[in-house]
Amino acid sequence: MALNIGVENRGAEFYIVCLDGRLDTATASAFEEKINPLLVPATKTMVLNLEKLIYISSAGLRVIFKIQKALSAHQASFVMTNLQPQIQRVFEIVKALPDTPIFESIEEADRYLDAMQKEELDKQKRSPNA
Amino acid sequence: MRSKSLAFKLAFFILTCSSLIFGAVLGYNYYVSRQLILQNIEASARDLAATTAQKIETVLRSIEEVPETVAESLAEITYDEKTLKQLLHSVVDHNSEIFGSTIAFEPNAFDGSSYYYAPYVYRSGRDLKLNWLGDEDYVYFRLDWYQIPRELKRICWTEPYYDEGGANITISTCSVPFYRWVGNERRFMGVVTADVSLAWLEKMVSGIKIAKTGYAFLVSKNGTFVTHPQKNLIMNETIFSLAEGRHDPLIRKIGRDMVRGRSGFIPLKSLVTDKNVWMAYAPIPTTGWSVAVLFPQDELMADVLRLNQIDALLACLGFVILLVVIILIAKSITKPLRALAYATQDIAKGNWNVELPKPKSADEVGTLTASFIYMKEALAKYVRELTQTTAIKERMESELKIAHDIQMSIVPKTFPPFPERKQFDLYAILEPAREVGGDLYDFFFIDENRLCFVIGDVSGKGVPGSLFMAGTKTLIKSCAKETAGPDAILKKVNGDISSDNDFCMFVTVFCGIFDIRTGEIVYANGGHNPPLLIRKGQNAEFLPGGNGPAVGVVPNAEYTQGSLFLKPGDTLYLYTDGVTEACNEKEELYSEERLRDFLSRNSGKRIKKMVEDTLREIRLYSGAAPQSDDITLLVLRYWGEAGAGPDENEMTLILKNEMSSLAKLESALAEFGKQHGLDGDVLRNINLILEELTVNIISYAYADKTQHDIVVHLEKREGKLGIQIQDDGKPFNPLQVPAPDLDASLEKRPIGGLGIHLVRKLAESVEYQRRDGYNILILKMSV
Repeated sequence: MALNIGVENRGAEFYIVCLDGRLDTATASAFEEKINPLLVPATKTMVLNLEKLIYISSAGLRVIFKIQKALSAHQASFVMTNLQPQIQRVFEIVKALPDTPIFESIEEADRYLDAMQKEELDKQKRSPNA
Repeated sequence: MRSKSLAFKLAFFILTCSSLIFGAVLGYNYYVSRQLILQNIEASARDLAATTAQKIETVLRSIEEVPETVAESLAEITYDEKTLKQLLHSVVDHNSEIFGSTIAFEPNAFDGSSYYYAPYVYRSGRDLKLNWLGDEDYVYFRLDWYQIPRELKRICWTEPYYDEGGANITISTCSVPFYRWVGNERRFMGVVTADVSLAWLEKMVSGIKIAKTGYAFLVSKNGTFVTHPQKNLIMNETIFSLAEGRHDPLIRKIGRDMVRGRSGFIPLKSLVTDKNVWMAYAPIPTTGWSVAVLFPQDELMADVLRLNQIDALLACLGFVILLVVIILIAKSITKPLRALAYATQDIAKGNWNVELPKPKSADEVGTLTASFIYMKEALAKYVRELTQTTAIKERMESELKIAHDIQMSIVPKTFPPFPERKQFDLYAILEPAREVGGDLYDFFFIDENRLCFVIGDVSGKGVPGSLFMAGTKTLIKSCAKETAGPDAILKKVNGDISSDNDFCMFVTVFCGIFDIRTGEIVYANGGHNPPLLIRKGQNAEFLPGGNGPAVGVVPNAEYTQGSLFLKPGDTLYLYTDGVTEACNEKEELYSEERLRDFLSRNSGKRIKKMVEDTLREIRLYSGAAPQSDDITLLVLRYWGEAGAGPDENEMTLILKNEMSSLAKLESALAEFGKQHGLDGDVLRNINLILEELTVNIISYAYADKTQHDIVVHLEKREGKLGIQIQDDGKPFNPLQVPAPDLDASLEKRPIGGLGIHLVRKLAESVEYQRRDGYNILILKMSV
């Protein structure tokens, strides 16, 4: 079973990436190739929707770690949603979760991201010189 | 020197040797001729000295006789003054050696009145003059020339002296006393003298010519120089004063010898020329003087020296000629050699058409050149032949390769051969020792339910074996379709082969017919190794009975038939002697016992694995020893009429070391999961474990680029799943890999290295073994 990668672009800075299928040694490189162009400073927010991801191996984890690192370096937000139990278990084993917010659904993630954005705006208002 | 040319070496050594030899000869020659000349010189010097002394002696003697005669006549006769003067005049006039002469009387002895009476006639130019000696200033009685003969009463020669008031030149005087008888008394009356001028003596001595710079000199009995080329010495120095002045004891010794009237020969330094001279001296007895002659060394040796110089010059000339000749000879030797060397270099580059120089002479170089020409032609011929042979060999090899492929294609090679028949499994393999071999196996259904299987071994390997094998296989197959049982098949085949078997080849055959409904096997054995029967869960045993002669040996041979029943799970293992007669490096056979024990240990394995493990076992046993005989294995396992099939609880996967194997792994696991009703999550965990391990092995285990098998074995028993993964890569124990630091911050945490961590977390237990060149990882988990 292969991997389908869907990229939804909500404005220039906001991407929702949906993974459908298996993220393993065979498919990881394709995913990496696809996601690499998005890992630029312009990207401010990325949501990784893993609702339909049924399998992940260390090769897949590697790519996700890469995304985490790249976006964190650009101060961008990165969240994951809809983790299947088996996927969640793998993430727990390699302790990939503490740094990245995980949500049950896209809506929940949206609310979180909106709140974040508001907070950021408030911060800027409070310190106009910044 | 080592790097110099042959011409240089030849010239250097020959010229060095010959100059050494010539130098030695020249030196010896010089030494000997010098010795000879020296001897001659000594003899002639002594001779010359003696002769000169003799000559002077003679002259002096003749001078002595004159006053002696006068003295004798004066003893007898009393002359008057006039006669006396005439006598003196004639004495001087007739004796050219005599400078002057006097007859000196005792006081008043001549006439009683003249106190002094001594008429002296001497030479003055060409004339003779008369002088009367004796007055108050010239009291001649007191002078040596008068006193000494008077006292000694004999003839005397005075030391040379300057006769002042007399001759007024330097002279030496010979005085003879004369006497008269007065009564009985012989009374001394006076002396008769004859003066010899030193100038005259000098003229006489200097007349002796010795070479160019040689000379002679006279010394008186006191050692005073009487004559000498150096005029200032004359009368002024004695030989002793000279020795004193020069602190030369040698001259003093010579002086002593001369004064004592001895003769001798001695080398010394000349006083005149300051050169090395030889001096010979001899006494003049009359006066007690001594004469010496000096020979200049260099002049006398000049001839020898010149001769040697000419010799050396000639030698140099000779060396130059020798050098030219040597160089020419060396060139004539090295020129063809050099040409040969260049040509040989060309040949070494593979240019066989190079013309070697023609041998011009029959000497060693000529022989060498001829040998080279011969060698070149022989080599060219050899290379041509080798090229041809290689081409032929390559063609043969390629044909043999094709023959190998053909042979492999005439034995069935698709496994499982009858996938629709679940009643049994069959696996076979043929590994020729060379490209083609003489082993054979075959299996085919002769009707709906009966499988005929054959294994055989032709006497002989290689091409003859393979041809015979192909014929035999076809023959068996065609006979089997028409004939009732294995014994009849063998009998028919034996008859066909032995009837037309000029080469006396034969084949050992085991032929069986297997009824897949009942598990019954009827078989006949034509001299073949007894197969092994492995009853399920039991040790392997050799199948007894059914033995007959090898096929093709005995015409009309009869074969007996044996039979047995296989129960589900039983295995029949057929092999050729390539297995049991495989040798190790010590030439020890693998043996049937070892095979039986090996199979007993491995009876639970699936038959393909059993076959592969047998081959591996044989290779391990042989070590570096080459495979000596063809190896063929045929294994049959019965599952029963129901077709129990393979053990459903087990699955073995052979994966190639390439990433595409992961897809195969995934689909095989999906199938396994479906069979066993495994939960999706569990299955994905198994998949994850196996993917991580397989990817690791594919990526890191192999240093070479060749294909390798990764064997994955799954076994599900009573809610537990055992996973075994095995590879023949380099030793690697994943359990020794340190766990990644997962608590590190996002920036620092590792991106890789998570696979093994996941495996260890997901499996309940992991165990690593390294066995027989395999990495074996055994994992267990609950399902």
